[in-house]
Amino acid sequence: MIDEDLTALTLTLQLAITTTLILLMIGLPVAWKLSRYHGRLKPVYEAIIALPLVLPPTVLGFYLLMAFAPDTFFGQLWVGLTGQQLAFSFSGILLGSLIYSLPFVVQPLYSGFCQVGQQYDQVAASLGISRVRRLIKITLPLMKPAILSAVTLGFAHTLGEFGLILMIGGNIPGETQVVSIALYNHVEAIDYQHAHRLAAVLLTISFISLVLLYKFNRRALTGMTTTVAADPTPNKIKARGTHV
Amino acid sequence: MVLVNKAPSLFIYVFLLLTLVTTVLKPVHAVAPIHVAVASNFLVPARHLVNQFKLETGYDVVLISGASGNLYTQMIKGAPIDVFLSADSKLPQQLVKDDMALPESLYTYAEGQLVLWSGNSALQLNQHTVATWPHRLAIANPRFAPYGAAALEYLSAHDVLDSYQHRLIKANNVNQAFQFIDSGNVQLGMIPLSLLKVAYQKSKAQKYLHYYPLPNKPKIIQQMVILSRAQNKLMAWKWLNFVTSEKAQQYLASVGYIAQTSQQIAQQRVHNMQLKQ
Repeated sequence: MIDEDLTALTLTLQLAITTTLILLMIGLPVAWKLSRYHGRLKPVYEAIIALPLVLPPTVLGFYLLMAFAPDTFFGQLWVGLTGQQLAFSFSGILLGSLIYSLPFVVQPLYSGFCQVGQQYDQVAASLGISRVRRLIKITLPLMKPAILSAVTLGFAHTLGEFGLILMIGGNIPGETQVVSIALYNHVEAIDYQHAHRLAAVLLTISFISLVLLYKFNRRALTGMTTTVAADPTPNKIKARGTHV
Repeated sequence: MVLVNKAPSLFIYVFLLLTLVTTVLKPVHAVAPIHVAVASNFLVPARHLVNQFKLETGYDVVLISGASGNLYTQMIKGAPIDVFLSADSKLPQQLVKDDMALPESLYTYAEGQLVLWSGNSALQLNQHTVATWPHRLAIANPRFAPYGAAALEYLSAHDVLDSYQHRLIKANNVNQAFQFIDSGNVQLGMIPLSLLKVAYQKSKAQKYLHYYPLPNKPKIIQQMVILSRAQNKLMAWKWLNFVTSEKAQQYLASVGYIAQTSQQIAQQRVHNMQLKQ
C-alpha cells in the first residue's frame, strides 16, 4: 500500500471516529428529548433529523460549498472565529459528515429510548435515586444495544462517505483526501491494482463492523426504521413505557 | 361478468398488435443512433456539434459523458460505445494498443488552452501572479487530467512547485476546479479557456473574461477514435469527418480550443491512410 493510501485510511478512520463521538454526544440528548416530546411539531423535528438519510450527498455538498464560500455570512463568521477557511479543511468535511451521518446515529438512539421507556426511571426516582445515578445505572445500560447500533452505523456510514467530500474536499492528502476519494482517483488514473487494495480494505472494515453489530445487537438495523420493536431480545424485560 | 373478462383480452390483443407493428416498422423508419463517449469537460461543445451534425446529415448521436478514466474502464468492459472523444491522447492511444479501436481512426480534434483565472477582478493576472500568490491554487488532478498535468508542469518550470505543495487544491476534473473558483472558495486557479468561454456565453458575467493565457506545455492534445466493435462504422466515420471539418473546427476555436488547421487534418489523414495499408 502506498503512503498516500495509508494517509487516506488514517484520515478516514479519524474522520469516522470523531464524527461518531460528536454525534453520540449530540444524539443522546436530542434523541432523549424527542422520545419524551409529543407536541404538534414532532413530525417536523423527525423529518429534519431524517432528512440527510434521503438527501443525495451531492445536494448537501453543493449547499455546503455555497455556504462555505468566504464571501458568505457563514464563511466569514468561520474565518473570523478560526482564521481558517472551511472548504478544503478537515473541519469542513467533519461538519459535512456530522450532518450527513446524523440520522444514522440519532434514529437508533431514538428507538432505543422509546423501547426503554420511562417506567424504570420513574420507579428509581420514587426510591430517591438521583438523576445522574439513574442515568448511569439504569437508562444507559438499558440503552447499550441502541448505542452500539448508533456507533456502528454512524462509523460505517461516515467511512464510506463520497459525494459530499468530493464536492467540498478538494482532495488534499492528510487533510481531506479520504479513502473513497483516493479509490476513485486510482480508478480515474486506471491504476486498478491500488484501487483493488483500497476497495478490499474498505469492504473488510465495513463487513467486520456489521458482523460486530449483529453479534451484539440482533435487531440492529430493524431498530433504525421501526420506532417500537415488536420483538425485544429474550433477556430484556419488555418495555411498555412510551408508545408513539 | 362477460364484459370484465373481455376487456383485458381486448386490451392484450391491441397491445400485442401495437408491439408487432412497432417492431416491424422500427428498422425502416429509424437508424439506431451511434453512441459517442465524451469527456465531461467537452460535453457542452459536443452537444453543439451533435446538433449541427443532426441538421446536416439527419443522423442522431447519443452522448455519454463521464470522466475519461471511467469511460475507458466502461469501454474495455464492453460498454456499447462507438466513438470516444477523449480529453487527452493517452486513452484513445491505449484503446488502439488494446486492439479495441481502429488505428486509422485516431485523430486529434482539438488542442486545449490552459489559462490562469481568478474570480477576483482586483487581482492582476500576469506571469508574476503565480510566483507571488500566497494562497491556494485550484487545478485539476494532474494524475489523470491533462490540464492538471500542464498546470503542474508550469509550476515546476517556474520553480514554485515546492511552495505550492500544501496549497494545491486538486479537483477531480477541470469542471470542479472551475466550480471551486467560481463559488469563491478558491481565488486563483488554472483551468481550460473553454470553460470560461462557455460560462461567459451563458451569463455574460465580466469575471469570466478576467484570465491570463499560459503556455501549453506539454500540449493538451485531445484525440478521438472509433471503437473496433462499432456497429455502424459508416456513421461513425461520418461523425469523425464532421468533427474534423472546417466548420466544426471554427466553432471549437470560438469556444476556446486551439483548432486544427485543414493542413493538420490532411496530414493526419495521410498518416492514417498509410497506417491502414
